[in-house]
Amino acid sequence: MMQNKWISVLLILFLLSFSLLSECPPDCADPLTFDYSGGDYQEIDWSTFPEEQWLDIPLERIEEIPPLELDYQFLDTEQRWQMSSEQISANLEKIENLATDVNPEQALEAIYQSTGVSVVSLGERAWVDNNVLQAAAGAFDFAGKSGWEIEVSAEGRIFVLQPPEIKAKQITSAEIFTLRNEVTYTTSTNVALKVSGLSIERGQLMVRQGDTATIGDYSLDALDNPVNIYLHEEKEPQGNYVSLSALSLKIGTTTEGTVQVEPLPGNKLFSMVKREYTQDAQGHLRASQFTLIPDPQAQMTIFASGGNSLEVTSREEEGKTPLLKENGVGDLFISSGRLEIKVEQGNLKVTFPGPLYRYEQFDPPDLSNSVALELVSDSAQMQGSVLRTSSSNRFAFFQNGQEIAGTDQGLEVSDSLEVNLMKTREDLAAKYPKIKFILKPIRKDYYPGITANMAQATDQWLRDKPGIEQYLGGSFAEIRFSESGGSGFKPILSYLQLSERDVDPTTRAISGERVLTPFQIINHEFVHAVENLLWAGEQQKGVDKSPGNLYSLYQSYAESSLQELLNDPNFNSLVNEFNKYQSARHSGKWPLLETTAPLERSRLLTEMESYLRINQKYDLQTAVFYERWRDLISQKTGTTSYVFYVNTQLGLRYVEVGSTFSELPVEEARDFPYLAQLEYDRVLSTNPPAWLRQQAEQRYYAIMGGKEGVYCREHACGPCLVYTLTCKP
Amino acid sequence: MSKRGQVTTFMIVGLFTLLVFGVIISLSGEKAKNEYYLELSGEQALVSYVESCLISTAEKGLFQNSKAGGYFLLPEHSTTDLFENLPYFYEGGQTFFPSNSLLAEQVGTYVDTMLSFCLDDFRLFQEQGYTIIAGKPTSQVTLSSSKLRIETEMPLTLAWENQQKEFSLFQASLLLEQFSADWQIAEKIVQEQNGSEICLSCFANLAAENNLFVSIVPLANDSYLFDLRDNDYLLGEEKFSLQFAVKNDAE
Repeated sequence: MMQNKWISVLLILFLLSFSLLSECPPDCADPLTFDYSGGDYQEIDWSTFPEEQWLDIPLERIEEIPPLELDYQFLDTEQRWQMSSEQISANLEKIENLATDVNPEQALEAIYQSTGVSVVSLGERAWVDNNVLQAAAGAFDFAGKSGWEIEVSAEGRIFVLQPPEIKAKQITSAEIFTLRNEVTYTTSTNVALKVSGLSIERGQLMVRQGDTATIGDYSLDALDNPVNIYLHEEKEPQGNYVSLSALSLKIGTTTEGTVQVEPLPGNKLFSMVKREYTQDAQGHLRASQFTLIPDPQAQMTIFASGGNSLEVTSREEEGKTPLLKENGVGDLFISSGRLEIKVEQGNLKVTFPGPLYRYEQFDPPDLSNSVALELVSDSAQMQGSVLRTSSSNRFAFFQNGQEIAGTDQGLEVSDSLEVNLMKTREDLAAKYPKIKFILKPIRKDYYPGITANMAQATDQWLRDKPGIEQYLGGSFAEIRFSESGGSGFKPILSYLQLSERDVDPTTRAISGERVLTPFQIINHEFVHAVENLLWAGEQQKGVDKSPGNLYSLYQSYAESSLQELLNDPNFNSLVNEFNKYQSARHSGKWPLLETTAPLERSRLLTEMESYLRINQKYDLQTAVFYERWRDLISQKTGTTSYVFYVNTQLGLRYVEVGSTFSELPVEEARDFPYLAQLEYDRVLSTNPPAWLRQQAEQRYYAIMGGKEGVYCREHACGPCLVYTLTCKP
Repeated sequence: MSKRGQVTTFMIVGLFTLLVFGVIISLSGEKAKNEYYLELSGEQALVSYVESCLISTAEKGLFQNSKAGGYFLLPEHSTTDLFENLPYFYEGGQTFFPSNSLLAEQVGTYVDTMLSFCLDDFRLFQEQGYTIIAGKPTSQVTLSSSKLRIETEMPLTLAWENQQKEFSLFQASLLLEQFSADWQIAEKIVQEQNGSEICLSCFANLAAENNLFVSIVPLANDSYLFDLRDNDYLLGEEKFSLQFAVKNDAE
């Protein structure tokens, strides 16, 4: 029985072997007679399918050809266009142009099926060779890239759109593509950076010509040539390049090449950051608890060309701003806030910050911040030279350690990171918690926040004045900021108003106002703050109307000086001669001698002085008049006729007597011991903090020629001699 | 002679002569006693006095004019809207750097206009019983790299009792090393001006060697104000300051 079974099996196998060995199975269709339109394609023996028959396959039935049996080379153009994604997938490396030779939609699907890579577009030409997608200007190795998304552009570039995280080790040396979207790129040294627009070409990172790339907190423009990029690598840079690490930036160019780098707000190396503070329960900023966030006002562009190279080194560990060293070859251009710096053929050229605005009523102020740095060069012309910039559009230029040019005006240009991090109202508020810093824009849309220059000027002025708040409103101490208009001290309300115009040297220069430095302006206003506190003290003691009160002393001094002046025959003769001269020239006259009203007289004095000052430069005779005027006025006042300015809001007070005298240097103030005494007594009447007492005492004795000097030997000398009502020695 | 002491030597000579002259007169009380001597001393004293005034006024003129680009009266090419206007040394592609002869001429104008402030109506002499009649001064100034020479024509009559002496020509000179060096640096700055760029390294060594600080303030109309301040060159306590403007070509 068992034997019969084995015989049956062998018989069946025998019979079957005929069908396998025959050219065509029993139901096999004859390719020559097969009905290609209606026939069953499963009947076709593709292994013996004659090459001339491929063209007989109608377009609508191409998709029925088993993918692995399809012989791509024998299909015509139209047939190929009908290929399914599976068929394309099976023939991927045989298709010369996936974008046109087959249906590109099917081609995209085919690539996805075979590689796991999504291709958004194949551009105008793309093909696959050795598992690498090729295009006119790109190559993309599918190996290990499942889940990636790419696009071939019309120009044949390959752009990678996904994934959001890419590692250097995933990229082979065969590839040429560009990371279009922002991705986190992890270097071979395991440093992760956000990048976009960055290209990889056969193992070399680069920015292709015409592209803009963002790498970490830098933006790079390859304007004229490709730029090689080195990220945290030890490799020696080649060609036109940018080499980045956490603590340095290196830029290099060939003799024909250019590189443009823009450090972006948030950049740590260039400290393009500002502080964001936490608050306590009362809403006060905690000075020591902050995070550094991007400073959107900080702007910088570096452009190197013609063989120039630049190395930027962090000096953060020393608490200093970064050091830039350039090689003195080709050209280097740095735009930083409102400053422009150029090293051209070894020479350092600077375009200085222009005014904040040209016409204050119409132009929004330029509130951009510069970047604090120091620049040195290997060029022969710059041996011993150092250019230092601040974060506040200031600069200082040193030659062999000596400052020979700069912003000047007493505005410090520091290489300290800490000083340059003082940028905002919040920085001031955190450092000086007893003072409120309030923004009072004239146009809100023009002035969303103060400049770093204002913050640093205010800090420089405040930092050595502990206890100053008693002069700025006490427990309601206040400093207000505006973009334009003038600075001033508001009595009664007791706040200091500071204008960007007055702390920016350029903007101040075009205002046509008196030539004073920012700190001369603030110190002038501070005298009014001292006067205001003294006045409040008088009111508190009920002596503000008593004889000898401060403003009565000012008034008697101003009026007696003015009377002396008006009675001076030389002054009379000057005014008369001048008016006669003006009449002869049919020009304006000043009826100064006929006017008795203090307000009108004050106006005429100021106007006449201003007229003489301006016109002395155009007319010889007026020059003589002005010289005579200056002699006479300075004999009486030491300064200008502004001493006689009358304030109408405060009841016709001569409010500028003390403040104008305070502007006089010691040697010129010596002619006015009465005012010097009044100045000293005034400070002592306000229970001054130690620094102010010391400052007032030093100036007083310097003016008087010392405690043991001639004046003090022969006259009463010391505190509280002229103003006594509230003065305390 | 030190560049710092340009004025004082001349002033001292003049004032010393005047002092001796005054002391003799006041001690004797009798002018007639030594007519010859007094006549000679009075003449010398007057000449010294005028010449010391020429020196001090000329030096003041150098300082004052330099604060306006070397001009006593501003030229046509000057700023117009500033608190203190300044001449353009460069404007519209043209250089207007003042020549030595122009600077000299402007100092001469300054001296002729301001000399009377120093002479003070010869009050010192009038108080001693002299009568002095002075005409208008006309000065010729020449500037070389190291010296200023001034020749002033000023009809002047010194009368005393029955005697009279006429004067007309006064001369003086002062050394100018620092003045010239500072002006050379200014010229270098203007020469190197290119558009809105200021070439700092072009004058760095010169400025450092001369202890000079160059303050540069840009204006809205593509102009710069320059102020070269010489920390070593003083008139009294005033530092020498050379100020001018440059206006860049419209872009």
